[in-house]
Amino acid sequence: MLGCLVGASSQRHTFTSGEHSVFSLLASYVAMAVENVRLRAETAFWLSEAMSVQTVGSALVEERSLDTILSIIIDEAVRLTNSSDALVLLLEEDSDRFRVCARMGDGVAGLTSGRLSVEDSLNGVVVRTGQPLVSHDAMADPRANQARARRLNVRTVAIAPLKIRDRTMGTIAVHNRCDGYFSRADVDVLCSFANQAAIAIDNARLFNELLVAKDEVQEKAHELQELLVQTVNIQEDERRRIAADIHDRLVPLIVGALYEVQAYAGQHQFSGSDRKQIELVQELLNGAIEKTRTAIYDLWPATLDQIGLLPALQELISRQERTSGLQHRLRVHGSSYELSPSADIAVYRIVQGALANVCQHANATLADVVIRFSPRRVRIVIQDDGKGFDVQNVMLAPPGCNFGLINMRERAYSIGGTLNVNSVPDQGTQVTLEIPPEERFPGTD
Amino acid sequence: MSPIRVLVVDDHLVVRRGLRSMLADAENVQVVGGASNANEAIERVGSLQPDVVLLDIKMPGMDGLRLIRFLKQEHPQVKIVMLTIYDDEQFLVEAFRAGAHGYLLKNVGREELLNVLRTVSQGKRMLSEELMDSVLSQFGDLAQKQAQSRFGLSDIEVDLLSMVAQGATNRKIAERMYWSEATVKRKLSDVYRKLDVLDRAQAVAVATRHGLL
Repeated sequence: MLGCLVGASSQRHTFTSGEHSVFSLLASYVAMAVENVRLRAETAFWLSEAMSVQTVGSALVEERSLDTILSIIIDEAVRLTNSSDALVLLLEEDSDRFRVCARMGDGVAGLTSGRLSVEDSLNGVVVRTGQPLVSHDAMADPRANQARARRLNVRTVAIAPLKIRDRTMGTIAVHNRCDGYFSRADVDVLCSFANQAAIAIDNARLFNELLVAKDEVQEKAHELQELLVQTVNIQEDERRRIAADIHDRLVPLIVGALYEVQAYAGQHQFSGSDRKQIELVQELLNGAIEKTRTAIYDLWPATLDQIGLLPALQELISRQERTSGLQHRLRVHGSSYELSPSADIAVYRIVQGALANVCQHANATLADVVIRFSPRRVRIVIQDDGKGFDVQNVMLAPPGCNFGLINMRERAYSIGGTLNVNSVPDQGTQVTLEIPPEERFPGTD
Repeated sequence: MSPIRVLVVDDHLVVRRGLRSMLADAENVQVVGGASNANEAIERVGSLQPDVVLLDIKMPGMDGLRLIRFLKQEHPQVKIVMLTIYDDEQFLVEAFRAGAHGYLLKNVGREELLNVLRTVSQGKRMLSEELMDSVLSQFGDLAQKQAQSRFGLSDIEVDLLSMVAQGATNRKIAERMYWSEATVKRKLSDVYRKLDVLDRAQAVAVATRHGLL
């Protein structure tokens, strides 16, 4: 029953049963029309609410900053439910408290703490049950924290859970609907809005975690790089020190012993087995000197300190040529200038590594080293005419199987340079090292 | 005939003493003194006027190469023989360039040492037999350098020639040198002009004949 249709006559008249039927029919038409108009208005309202939720939802999904997301949520919650106050509460991990993440309205401005206990509160009930809740008088509701409700002036309240993957992570609460009580429809709107808000909050949290993780990875990579540079420097210092120690402490003793034996042998006439024994001692001492000489050279190229990088490379190449039988060439283009000591040894080791690869793996007939000095950079190209290899595969191979290319590249980075490897199967390999002008030794031109 | 007066410069007593022992009974050779660093060496060369200085390349105070230059400048008549552990060609070349007359490795035998001291004191240059090979390889480089300077070719131009000899196309050369193909053409025609030839084949032939490659 919607209402009644009143028909009246100005003269005395008794309605006939025919007229009664017509009037009843008319009344039912009017009722139908009224109901239609009402339904249409209601549908239009829900459609606009739904579209509004939808629009806010997509805005939320696109947003990545948690703060922005929370402020959108709180604004929209108040607007959609026509209420005076709103709160977004998120459960703290491993704790029985909520954190107040966003709030709006004069009532909730009275909150003194950023934390609220889950126990004895309407929000706690929503978290425990995972279901929305409405209270028409929070100050008298036995489930509520009535003292707090009074303090914050909460009369009517609707609360929806923020759920993600069946886990409730918090709640959205709206207080004091401006024109009366929260209806079932308000709760439905709030719930569907809360679902989208939960996804947005979760996304933002994940995104933040990802950013933090990315920063951490970058920081670790940087630390690792620093550590590598340090390790390499320590290693080179050690090598140089050991080489100097052998040269300064061990070699003089062996040389002294050899000279004394030779002096002794020269001053006496020995026969047969005695002479043989003396000769054997000389041979052994000789061998010891040769072995230490090789050890010293392998540890540290003395020419690098005493004459410079280019002679040290020339020496390296001459030796490689003698030991490998492979033809080597060194060419210097442009007018050369000195590099810093750390760049010197880095360049030396990279060329050494690249040439060792050519000799061991390339099956080449020629190894060519070209050093080009220009004001803007030094470019060093080590090229062979060997069988080449698949650079991508080798670069990804584990340590020990990547021809030391990763180490060479790190070494180049450590002095602010770059290392590029180009190789085509059956067309040789080209290793290009570029060093920035900052590595130019101060005071040279 | 007066003996050859030798000054031994090495920062280790055991080495100086060993050399003294080894040369003690030698005919016509006399160790007149020792020095353990560059300053002592400069002072003793001045006061003792030795004929030959036996000198380690790595010394506290001043490296051996600089010491050679300094001593040769102050006392041009003094002959210097390097006595070192290092068999690096570059040291050898630099030592002779600085003015040394001899280069010996520290594991030198008594006879070889005496031979070198006698030869060097007459103003001739000598080096360890073991090092001959290095010197000869340097000599090969030297011959190539001479030919290069006779034709007035730069290092880059010799590189160009060797790439041409390996059959590289202009495009391939351009890639390797980070040039344009036009630059390669221009530089090659410079090379042809210097070698007085007309094409690649002739250029390679002339370069090979003169040991440029």
